[in-house]
Amino acid sequence: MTVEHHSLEPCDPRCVAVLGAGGFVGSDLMASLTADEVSGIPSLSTDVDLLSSQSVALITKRFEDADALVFVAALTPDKGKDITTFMNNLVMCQHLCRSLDSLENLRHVVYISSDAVYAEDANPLSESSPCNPGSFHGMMHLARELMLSESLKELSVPLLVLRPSLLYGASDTHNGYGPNRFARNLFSGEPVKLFGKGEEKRDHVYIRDLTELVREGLRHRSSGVLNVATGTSYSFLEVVEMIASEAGQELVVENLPRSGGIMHCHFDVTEMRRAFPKFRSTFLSAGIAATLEDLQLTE
Amino acid sequence: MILSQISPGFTRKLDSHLSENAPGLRPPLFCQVETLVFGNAVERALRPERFIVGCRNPEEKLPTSYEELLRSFDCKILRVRYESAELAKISINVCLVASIGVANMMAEICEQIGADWSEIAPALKMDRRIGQYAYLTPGLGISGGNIERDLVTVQKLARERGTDASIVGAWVANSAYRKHWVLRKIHEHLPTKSSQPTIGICGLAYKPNTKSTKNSPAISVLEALRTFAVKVYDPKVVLDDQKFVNVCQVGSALETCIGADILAIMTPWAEFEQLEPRAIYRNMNTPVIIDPFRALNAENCIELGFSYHMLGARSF
Repeated sequence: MTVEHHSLEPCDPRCVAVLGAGGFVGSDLMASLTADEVSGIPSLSTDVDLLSSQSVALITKRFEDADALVFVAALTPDKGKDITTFMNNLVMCQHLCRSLDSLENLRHVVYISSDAVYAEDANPLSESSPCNPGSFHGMMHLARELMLSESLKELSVPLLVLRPSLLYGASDTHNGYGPNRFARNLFSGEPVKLFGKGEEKRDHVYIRDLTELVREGLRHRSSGVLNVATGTSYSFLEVVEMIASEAGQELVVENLPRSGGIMHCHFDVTEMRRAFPKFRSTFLSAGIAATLEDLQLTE
Repeated sequence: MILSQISPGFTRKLDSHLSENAPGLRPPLFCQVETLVFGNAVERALRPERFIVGCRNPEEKLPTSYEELLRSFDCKILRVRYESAELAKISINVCLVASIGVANMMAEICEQIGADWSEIAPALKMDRRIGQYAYLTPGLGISGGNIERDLVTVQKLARERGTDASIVGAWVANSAYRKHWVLRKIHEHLPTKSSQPTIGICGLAYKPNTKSTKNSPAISVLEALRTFAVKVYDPKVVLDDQKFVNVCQVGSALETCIGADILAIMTPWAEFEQLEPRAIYRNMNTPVIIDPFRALNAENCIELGFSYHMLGARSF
């Protein structure tokens, strides 16, 4: 499904509701909206508990002025990878879907999904790669995409689904295997633990790039599915070396035995180039430099 | 005599229809496989490699006048049943797609590891099992329309009859991926300092010596470059100005280079080989050439300091 723009002249929405504004992605998006003086209504789990059925009424009230909505609230794998987390994530989406038809000003929805919806061995990944998630996390995102798409189809509201690859940036709280964790290792003086020799290649996306693409999607009122990646994959060892080089100091690496075979992941970003030709991805080295600088300020 | 491209089963059905409607008067009916190549149609018609004739019963002799006509071309005549003839044309195209698919897949690996497909392909052609005329030139995906149509037919037949044609899906996906090779290169090399780069495009036809742009990679690239200033030139194709408002169609290949930040040669027309790399260098704003088919003299371009990109070999 290719991306389609419903606004021929790009312009910011009047008011953007951000469900999940307290997280890594949501907070960066809110900062970007605020910097550009675009009205945003942040919503955290403390404001609207999407697990509660009362959230349906709360969303209707809180977001009644919003003409665009970005749904980024989810219980991430660090909160649980089990069936309960999976079901809770679906309940959260179910409550949002129930509230959608009462949001009378709503003209556009952006859902932040994940590349976990694809089969692990699909390579290079594009939007037409078969979806075959190997985890509850991926299955949850795929189910949510369908829930939103079916609900919004009835309302004729365009839905843009963004499927980012591995995200990094100083404010990432998940501390997953990758640039964030390695950078924190640098500051704490701990060794970097790499599975095998860190040969697996991944496409690492700087958080600001995802935010910029969400903003572009909002400006164009885009619909469809778009992967968010840079088009260049690096091995985890190369990431460690890049961090060491940017920081100007050695990083001690500890090699751990790997559990499975080596799996690489590359992206074909043609659709992103086609949909948003002026968008330029941040080079990994530049993103790492910015992340290190931000971490230095905060840690 | 049916020369048109038809779905497998059509001739037998027509034959039954004719016999049912005119019992006792069963006219001779043949389907002859046409293997026209766009840009080479007259040569192919005058000097065919063989005739494939679909017959009601391949054991029966052809009518004398028809046989005499075919024999005058001095090539083999293959008499086969209707269904085989109908599927032969499709099979030829499917074989071509398979060869092109292999060439494209391996050429991309060459680009990554520093091998050169133009050195490998001749070795393959010397292998009798592959052959000297094998389609082993890497390209920008399947275009032109005819081969695509045959792939759709195979997929349809497989779906209807429950046979496995999943490999066709892989070829189609690979073709779509290859179609955007130039677009990916353009975005890799767009100058970051220039907020409004100019892109020069030479060639719009899907291949040289035709004005057909059906499924042409050049057109897909133009569609994806709507926010950029683009200059195009093609010896035969005239672009619809209304469809591409950001595109300026100029009168010569060299004009596309004036002030361009990237030059992409999308169709290897013979006249582009005459382009003087030094003249291109003098006229371009940034020396970046994307020349998938190596229409220019690659060595000269690299010596002059161009950032030069071609299919099947590493970039310079």
